Amino acid sequence: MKDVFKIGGREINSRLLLGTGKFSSNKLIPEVVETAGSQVVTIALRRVDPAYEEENIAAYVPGNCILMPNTSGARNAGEAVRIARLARAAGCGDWVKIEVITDNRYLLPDNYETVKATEILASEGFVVLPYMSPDLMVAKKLVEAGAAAVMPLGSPIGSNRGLRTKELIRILIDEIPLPIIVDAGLGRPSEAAEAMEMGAAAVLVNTAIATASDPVAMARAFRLAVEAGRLAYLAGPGETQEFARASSPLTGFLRD
Amino acid sequence: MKIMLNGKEEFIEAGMTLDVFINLKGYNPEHIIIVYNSEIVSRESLAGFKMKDNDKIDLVKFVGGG
Amino acid sequence: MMSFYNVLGRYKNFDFERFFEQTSDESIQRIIAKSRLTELDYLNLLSPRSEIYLEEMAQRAHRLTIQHFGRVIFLYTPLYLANFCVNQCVYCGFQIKNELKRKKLTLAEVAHEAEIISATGLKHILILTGESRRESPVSYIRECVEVLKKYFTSISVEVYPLEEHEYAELISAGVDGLTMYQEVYNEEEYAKLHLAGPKRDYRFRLEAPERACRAGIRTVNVGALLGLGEWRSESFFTGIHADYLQNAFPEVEVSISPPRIRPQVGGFQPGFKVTDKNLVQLMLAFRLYMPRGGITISTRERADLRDRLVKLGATKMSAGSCTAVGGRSDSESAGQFEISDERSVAEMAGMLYGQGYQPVYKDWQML
Repeated sequence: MKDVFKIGGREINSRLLLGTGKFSSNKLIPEVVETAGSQVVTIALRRVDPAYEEENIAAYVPGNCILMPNTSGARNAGEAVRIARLARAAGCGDWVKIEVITDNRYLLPDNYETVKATEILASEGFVVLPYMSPDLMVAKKLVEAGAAAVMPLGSPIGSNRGLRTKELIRILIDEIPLPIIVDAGLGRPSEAAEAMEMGAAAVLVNTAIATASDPVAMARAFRLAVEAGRLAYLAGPGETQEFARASSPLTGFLRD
Repeated sequence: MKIMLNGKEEFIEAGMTLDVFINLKGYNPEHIIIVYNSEIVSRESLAGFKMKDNDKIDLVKFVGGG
Repeated sequence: MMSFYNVLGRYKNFDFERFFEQTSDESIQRIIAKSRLTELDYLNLLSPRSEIYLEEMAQRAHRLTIQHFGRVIFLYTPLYLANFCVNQCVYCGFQIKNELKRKKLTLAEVAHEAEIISATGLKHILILTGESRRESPVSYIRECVEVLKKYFTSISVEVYPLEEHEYAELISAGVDGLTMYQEVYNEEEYAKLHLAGPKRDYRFRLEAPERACRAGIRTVNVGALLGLGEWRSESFFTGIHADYLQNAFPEVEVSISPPRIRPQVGGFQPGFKVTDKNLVQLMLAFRLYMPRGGITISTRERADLRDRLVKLGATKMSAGSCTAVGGRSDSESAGQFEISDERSVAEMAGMLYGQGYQPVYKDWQML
């Protein structure tokens, strides 16, 4: 049976989404994307800095990828909407990762503003992937608001602390009828595999690959981990058995 | 006249067109996105685009991000 | 939000027989150990093959119930307000074609019954009527609620399906719970059993719990009258109805009842057999599917069986029941059906204490 992964009606052939920030050189990006096998690649939109001329990141992303601009830098729904519209006007397509952060200590997303931005952008025809703190009620509101997937954090952005929010993410996987993509905090391939084994539809990884000593090798490691985790999930792992305990039978009285 | 460039005040010669202004600032229009009063300006229309007092210009570009 | 009618539509031509043939021992064992069951996992546990795993299911269901509810059973009692009915449901003692003394309690009689019931210590009551918008209109039900409010802290209604604004009216008068049995979820069977009257509108009844939830009800209880349809599929539909309501209205307390049809005036013979073992299997499967869902067991069941069901997932039981209108003060009147467990509230409480459970008379009161 083919294992199809769809977002916003589009079939995606890789469950490893890749971020392009923090690389020592943008020149690494094409090889990293190719090795990771990623089809969805995130980028950011920034005001230009007169001090130095950066290259256009889009030029480094292979042409068959879906470019997904994030709204990083937005502190409220209005700013996120503005960034998304600018990115689309600039030729980026319909996909957008909503990221609204008002907390500079932990870089945790503002779920309330995220729901508002999702609602507005979905109604404008965007394929909206909101980044959020895992919360069931918020995830339900994102579904109603028209999100194409829900992207809970595993731990704070860039922290490499892994799947700390595991129990909450498990609830989202069980209850939300959209792909759950674990975004932020995955520091090691084993953590990506764990998320996939639990039934996450995909993971988004940036820092762990970009800041590895050998980003290309790490991209390959994550690719294999995501595939292994997915396979394990599909294979239906045996449940952890509860310890047998002596107890009197409860159904012995039934005879028919 | 006064304009807002990327959120900061700048004083420029009245009636300047956008292409001249971008050149003056040292940007290659091929590499950036020009947002004028919240609207994207296409590269083709930069030459005839006259700037007015109190207008807002944002020069943005795509960079690496997660 | 999609209506449950549309959710149910997905199973319109579902081949249950074929699904049950394809179940395997490995998958059933795996499902029993799972922490979150899917819809089809639940159906697996309702399969004939799962019967050999009833003891394993029971052990887990028992632990889950204690984990989520504690060693307690909530007690309530039904109060029949009126038995006028315009429907012709072939299985019901109150249906229009049956000859019986029709009666509706006056508000003074409601107060009198309330006094008798509250002397037993019960604070939760379920009020019932037949369907007659002329004899027992919403305004009558509301007036009864206003009387009963003085005696009880929780009032549930089991009456004909209402419009959303009518539910809102009863809720503002003091109603906090709704019981609505679809009777039979299979739409064709439903049409055959409901020959005349407004109850022929399958969808209006099916969507009544949704309307009550939108109107702000605190608890809903759904179920199929077991014996009217094939019990495995009917129990499946009951479970996914409960799950749908819990998803759509996370703030509402959702429970199911597995009422088995009882003899009544009119002598209807149910078309499908539901054994004690079947009843236990459906309770256990539901408990594993919805660990936090309530299961209500009425006095339709025998005392000896009810005693066993305490440890098999039940969370709420009726006690000191009477299915006749005014039957607590006048023993002449015929009931909707014959009850099987005639024990008083005090006797029920004694049985529960004996099993190490606490009977709860009052769980909740609006502040």
